[in-house]
Amino acid sequence: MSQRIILPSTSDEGVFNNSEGYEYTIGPKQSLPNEASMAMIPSRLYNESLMFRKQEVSLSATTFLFQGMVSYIHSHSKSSTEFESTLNEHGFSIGSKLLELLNLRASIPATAHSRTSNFLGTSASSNNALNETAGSATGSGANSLGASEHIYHNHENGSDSIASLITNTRSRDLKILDMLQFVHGTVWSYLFGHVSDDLVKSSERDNEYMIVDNRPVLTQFIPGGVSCDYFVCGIIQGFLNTAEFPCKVSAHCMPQNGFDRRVVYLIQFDKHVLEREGLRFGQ
Amino acid sequence: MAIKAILVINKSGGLVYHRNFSNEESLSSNDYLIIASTLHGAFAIASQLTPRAVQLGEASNAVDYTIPYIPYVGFPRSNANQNEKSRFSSNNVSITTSLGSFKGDDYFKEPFQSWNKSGIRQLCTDQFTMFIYQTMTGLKFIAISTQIPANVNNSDYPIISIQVADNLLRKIYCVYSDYVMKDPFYSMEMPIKSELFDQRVRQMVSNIA
Amino acid sequence: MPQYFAIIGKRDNPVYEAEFTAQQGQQGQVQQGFPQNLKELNPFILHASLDIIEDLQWKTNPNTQSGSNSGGGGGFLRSRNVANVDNCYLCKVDHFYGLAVTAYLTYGGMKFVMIHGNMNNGDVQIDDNSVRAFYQEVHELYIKTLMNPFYKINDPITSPAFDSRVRALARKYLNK
Repeated sequence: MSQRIILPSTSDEGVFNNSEGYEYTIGPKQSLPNEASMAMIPSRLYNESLMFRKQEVSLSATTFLFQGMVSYIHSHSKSSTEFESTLNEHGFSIGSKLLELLNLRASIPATAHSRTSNFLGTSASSNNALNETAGSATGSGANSLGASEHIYHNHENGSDSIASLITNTRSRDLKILDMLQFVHGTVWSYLFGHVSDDLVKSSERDNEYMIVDNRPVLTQFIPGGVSCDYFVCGIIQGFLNTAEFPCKVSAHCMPQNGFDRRVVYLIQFDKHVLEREGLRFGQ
Repeated sequence: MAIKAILVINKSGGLVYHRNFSNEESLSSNDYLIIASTLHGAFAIASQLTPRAVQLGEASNAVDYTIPYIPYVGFPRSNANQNEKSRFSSNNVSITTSLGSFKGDDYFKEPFQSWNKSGIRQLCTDQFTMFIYQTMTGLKFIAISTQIPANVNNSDYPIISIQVADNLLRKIYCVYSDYVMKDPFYSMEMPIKSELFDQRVRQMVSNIA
Repeated sequence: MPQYFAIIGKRDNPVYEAEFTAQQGQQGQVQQGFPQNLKELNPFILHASLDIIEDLQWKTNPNTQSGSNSGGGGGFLRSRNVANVDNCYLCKVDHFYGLAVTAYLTYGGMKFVMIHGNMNNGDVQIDDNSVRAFYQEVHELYIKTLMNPFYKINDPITSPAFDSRVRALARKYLNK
């Protein structure tokens, strides 16, 4: 966050003329008297639906991208610890953003999901129909315009909003085990297309848990140690830290039963996470 | 036929990978380097020796460079047979999910064009037979097999062995594209040190024996 | 009925703030905003309720009243809506001289807090369903903001597109 001087609260007149977004040096803006009639500021980011769509990304493309990232970081870091921590940081932001997204998606009731996917499907086809009629009437130039306007309108109606489908949001996970179950199941299948192979609690230390992946997807073509798996460690760490379960995650290679690339992600929670759990859910 | 050795030669004639499979006396790595560059040179000369008419002209259209697909070369024989029999039952998917970025139960399933149109494709001696598969980028995959043709002059020499070798070497090329090209620590044209690639190649060669 | 809405980040820093007022333009009335002196106080009132929110954050059922721990969490201040079973929307968490404070927690621990003002010095009535719907929609917008690769968690959200959408939601759910 860039540091700027926070101005003393200004009179409303100055703010009224400012049509920009929130400015933390000024403070909250009041709603404008005529804002209801104002057009919504178009934005691709906010018009996209968060609804899950089955889209498969080519494994080759993913691993080539990962390879590019790894070799860039490799050439820019001086030591292996630096390399691992940079990879970790790259994963961290992904994990912390996934936390919000996957939890909200998990809140959508299963019935609503199928209904809306049908609905979206039909709306898309009606979209095409409109597109075709427009195209035949006014030529191909107006064709794309008409279609995009229609989509825009559709989104502004809020018909794609997934929040409106949610009756009860998924409970925030408060316990370590619930949180890890979510990582082991939902997060893993979102990222890698399968749930992780095991979730184990360490028998020696209370604060240690392990997530086991027999076939790591991203690093399956990379020979040698587990340095590159620190990216996935970063994702887990970002996920858990943002959910306020501060922890350290490290990767260990433990071949077993013919899975010679088997990776164990060791999660070490901070002491105060256990203390909090003991205080809140002790009995 | 048994494979004695697999070599990979980069586009400038340097040996980037070699693996000896026979227990016989093996050459020193220096000898392998010499073989690789000699072969590279011989290959270049051979491509010049190919009649111009075959290289350009209408005659080139007459030659069919299509290699037919031979199923499950380099896969465990039992697996291949099982696949042959139960092609429509999909219970064998779990066995072969480890094909890297390739989907399905084989690396490719259709006949392909040979890119090696003017160089050496096969070298027969009374000691061994050598098969060369060249890629679009000039990379050469070489298999040395123990097979000795009974009569080299025989015109009906089994063309099938070239086809099997081309299928096998193309699969090694597929493995190369996964385990070498997607390795962030590999630098182009340098010797391949990836043990994962080595492991896959050895597995594939042991299956063909 | 004016509202002051803020998204509070992990370091108790404001990520986004806005004031909503009812639209009564057609009757020629003046907009009912917060009085100027209260406007200055809003952030303080809001931040004062953060302690309660942080306590409720780690309760399994923050919206059910259990007699045994009525001492903690400002339980007596809160609205009694036992129908609410999810622990993201916390209903009314606090009040301050006739102003009500509602809160919503995202999965990443961002706090959406809102002060509901009153118009005629009467008690503030909070329609939990529409307030919750508002929070959920803002939550979705917030996630869309997170999907922007250039946005870092805890940075102020300065996007005018976000602002205009939140205001549209406020008109839809809060100031009908």
